[in-house]
Amino acid sequence: MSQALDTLWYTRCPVPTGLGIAVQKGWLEQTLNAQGTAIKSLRESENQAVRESHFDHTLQNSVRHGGNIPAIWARASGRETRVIGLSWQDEVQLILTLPDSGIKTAKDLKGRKFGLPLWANAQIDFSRAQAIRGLENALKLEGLEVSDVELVDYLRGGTHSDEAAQTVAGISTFGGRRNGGQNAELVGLLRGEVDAIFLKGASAAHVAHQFGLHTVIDTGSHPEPLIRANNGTPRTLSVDLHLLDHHYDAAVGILDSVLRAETWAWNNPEDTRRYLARETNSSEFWVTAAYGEDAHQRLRTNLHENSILGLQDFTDFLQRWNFIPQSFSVRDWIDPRPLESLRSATALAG
Amino acid sequence: MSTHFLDTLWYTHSPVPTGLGIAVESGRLAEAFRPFGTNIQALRESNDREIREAHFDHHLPNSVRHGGNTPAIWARSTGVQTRVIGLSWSDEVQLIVSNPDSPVKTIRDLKDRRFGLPKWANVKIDFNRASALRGLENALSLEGLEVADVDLVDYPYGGTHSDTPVRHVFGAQIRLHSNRVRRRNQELIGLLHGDVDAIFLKGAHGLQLADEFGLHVVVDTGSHPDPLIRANIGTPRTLTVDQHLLDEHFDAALCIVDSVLHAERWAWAHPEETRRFLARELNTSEYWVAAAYGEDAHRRLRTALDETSITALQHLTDFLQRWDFIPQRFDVRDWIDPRPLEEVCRVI
Repeated sequence: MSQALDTLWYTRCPVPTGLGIAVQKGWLEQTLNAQGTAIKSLRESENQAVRESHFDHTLQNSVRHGGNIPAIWARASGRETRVIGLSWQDEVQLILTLPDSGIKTAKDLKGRKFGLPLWANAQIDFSRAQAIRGLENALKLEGLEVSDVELVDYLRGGTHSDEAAQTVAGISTFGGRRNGGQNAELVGLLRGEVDAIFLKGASAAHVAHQFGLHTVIDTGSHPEPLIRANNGTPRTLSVDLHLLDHHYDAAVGILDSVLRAETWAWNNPEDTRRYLARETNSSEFWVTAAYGEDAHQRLRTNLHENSILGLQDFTDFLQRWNFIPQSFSVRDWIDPRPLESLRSATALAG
Repeated sequence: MSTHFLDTLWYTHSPVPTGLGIAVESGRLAEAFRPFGTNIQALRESNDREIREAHFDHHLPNSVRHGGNTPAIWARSTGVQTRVIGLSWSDEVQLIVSNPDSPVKTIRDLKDRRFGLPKWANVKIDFNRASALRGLENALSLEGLEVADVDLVDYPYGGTHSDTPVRHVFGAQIRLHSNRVRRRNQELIGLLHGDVDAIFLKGAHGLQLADEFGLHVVVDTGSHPDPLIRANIGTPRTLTVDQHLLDEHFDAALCIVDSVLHAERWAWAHPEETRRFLARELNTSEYWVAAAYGEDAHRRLRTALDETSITALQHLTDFLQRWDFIPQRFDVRDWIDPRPLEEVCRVI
């Protein structure tokens, strides 16, 4: 039986998500308010433990749409969460070198130095995990392994939730300024300390252009979905089990506003591009460069088989590289009921 | 005053906040010229390099330009017959930055340190170098120091800014196939290498780079209370046309000014949409627009001919002459033709 819910905490990554559009359109708030529920952004909280829930999903009655690595890690660490939707929006995943490095293809990476971020204090170092994944998949296509490359760590102190998101003119950044810059490995590449690094998404496309970097490979555009599978492919829409058990209607309401936002996006490319630029804190041009001119059409939350297979393959990868204590069956993690409830409600209405 | 039929008006605006940019992007400029049968064409998108170069040397008849003052001042100084018909002043961040672990924290610390400057070898007017030098000189002057107190290190660039046409994609002016080495911010890479101790960065992109690399901001001369300290390539920006346009197509000049002023008035009442226009124009995010140009960026779009802007323009002209960026100085008041603005303001 669904009980009244006072407050729902929400969070999404600074990437294209249906939840992000639903928040910006005001539809998450509208839907939940109709149920008597207020919504709060956990990344903007003054409390670091609340902000950190973006990564460890400890907060009761919270929803998160974003990169799957922290979600998988939280689940593997015993957190009672459930996936209620998956969205697969391909994005550029670039292995980048300096133009004069002599590295033209993934094969040339053999024996070369590859810069990796290492966030020593983060509970889950998703930026390192996604870089290793991109590297491993790129090398695999040439019959090479990560051990064929010399890894160079760029150690970072602090965590990803040290500062609250900053708001300027009603536009929030994902987090506060990170002291020492965003990408130590990029500095290493520009200094010539390493031969190649991994970057993804709109900022990667921008940085590659800005510094005239050579793209060795974009695994994000490979035809094989398991080569493309990474932190953002697929993204997870997850809630805590408490919410499902006690406030089921809220879970259905969340999904309803997400699907409404995505349906709206398919028909409104211009406005969607603007929202995605705001979400990613990038320009509309770089959004299309990273997510395609049809970025608006790629916002689709469902529970497709391909996404489930990608998620399982990636969970196994995280275990193999010791980012999570153990692997698990992602099918046991998925609760398809809210999506089914919504579909039958829509069918009844139709 | 004779006005003849004008077949084509060439326009160009720098990828910065300008009233002309908003007038173009909103379709207002094209609409204003439609009744006259005049085509409007973006000269930066031309396939002809000579035409594209007019953004910098303003040699094209029947053209209007709104943007950084340095190329406009240079063109005038070399004898190109242009007139300023408006000035706009949108303050922007102008940063002197050092590495996060550098001992250079204050302006005073810059003494005897190495400062990286771009040097474009093949361009007619090296506005990047001029604006960095201006920012540096103004910063140092606040502590009684001079550029001679700092060790300048040149970062050479080949090519010119007009080598490839601009493509207009999702509001942004993009040159995707330009030489990749030329696109790199060599001074920034020098700073990251530790070869120099400080560099100059400005605007939304400069602020984003400072954030991305966690750079220490020594000073932001763009937020200093004295307008002459803030005066640089973008403060004020010049709205210029060629003399031929004024002589032969005065109505077109009126139409331009009218479109610009209306676009700006629209902007004052539409902060959200304006921020989006500016983000597209600058090819950055709305967040960085607000951070670099203020949350009131929409209100800073004001083309006029006020005394502060004229004084600053003269000051900059003298600066450019002093540093040999232009062959001779001139009186900017002789350069300004206030008639179109006066006539449009009378009607508005």
